[in-house]
Amino acid sequence: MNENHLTDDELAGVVVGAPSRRASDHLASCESCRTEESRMRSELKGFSEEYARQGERPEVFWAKQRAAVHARIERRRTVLWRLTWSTAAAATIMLGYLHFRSPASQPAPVVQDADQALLLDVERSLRRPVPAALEPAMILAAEIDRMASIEQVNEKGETQ
Amino acid sequence: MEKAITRMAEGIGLERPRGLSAEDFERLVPEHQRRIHRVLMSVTRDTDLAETLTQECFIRAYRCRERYRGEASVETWLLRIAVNLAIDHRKSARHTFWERMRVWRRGQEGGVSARDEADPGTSVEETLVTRESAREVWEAAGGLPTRQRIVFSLRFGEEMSLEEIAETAQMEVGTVKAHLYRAIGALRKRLGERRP
Ligand SMILES: [Zn+2]
Repeated sequence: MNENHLTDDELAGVVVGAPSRRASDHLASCESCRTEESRMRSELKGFSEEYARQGERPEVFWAKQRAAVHARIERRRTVLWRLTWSTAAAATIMLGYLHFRSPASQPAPVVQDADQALLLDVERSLRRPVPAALEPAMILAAEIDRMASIEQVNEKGETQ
Repeated sequence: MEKAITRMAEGIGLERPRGLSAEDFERLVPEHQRRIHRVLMSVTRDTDLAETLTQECFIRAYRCRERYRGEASVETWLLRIAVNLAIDHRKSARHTFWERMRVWRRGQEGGVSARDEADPGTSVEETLVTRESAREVWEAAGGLPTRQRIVFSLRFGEEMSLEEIAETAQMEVGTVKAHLYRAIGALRKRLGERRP
């Protein structure tokens, strides 16, 4: 049995916690492989201890780390908050601008102007001696009258 | 809170948790900062970088807290972010001049500082030998490729199960084993070379 010692992978499987059936059987009867296994376990234990030591820090270190993370999150929140507000403000201004600028939103002043114009028109019409539509005819009539009176004066002079 | 989330997720499938609130998040930092930092310290072997990436891990988690669906535990989720950060950093820093300078300078200075005070109850000589051999394994593990180092740290540093590591590193269990076997093989070789 001892001529078939465990391979590196089989030994690794044992210390990793996933031993093969053959590895378990072999270890039960081979002292040499058991020695190698125990040496590997002791080295891995050494790693585990040094690993823990390397991660040790005083409490003030962890407190500072928490404060740093907290500060960065707060900064991020503030930036997002400002961004949200400025976007909302920009959107409000834009909407307001579009609202007062669009033709569809101007009927009130137009109606007011039209009403005023109509009132002025009515007033002008009432002040006129003749309706606006008959004004050209009136001018023509006046002209005919003027011509007739001149002719009468000439006829009088000729006859006199 | 983690338990509550897991309970909800593992419940009768009624509802999965919908993200983490900012208040929930505040509690995560003190609960998990040590572990995240430890893993990053082992993977990066750089005190400042481990600190920077730990903070970054929590900031990223905060940013995506609403997307957390409880498929993995909060701890696994945070470790996954941390591990990805370390891999990304490694990828981007591998070829930069300053990174190489930093590694070289650390080598000159004699590696990462460790607290060498002796434990009470053991002889100075015994402590030195044990500490020295522990340090040797730690140093040797520092020379492993990034993914092997991650998997190795999670297994032997954090004592996580193969399934938990697979979930954290987003690999198949078979791949986790393969990385571990290669890592252990490389360590045995390196430590064997140093042995008289
Ligand atoms: Zn054997």
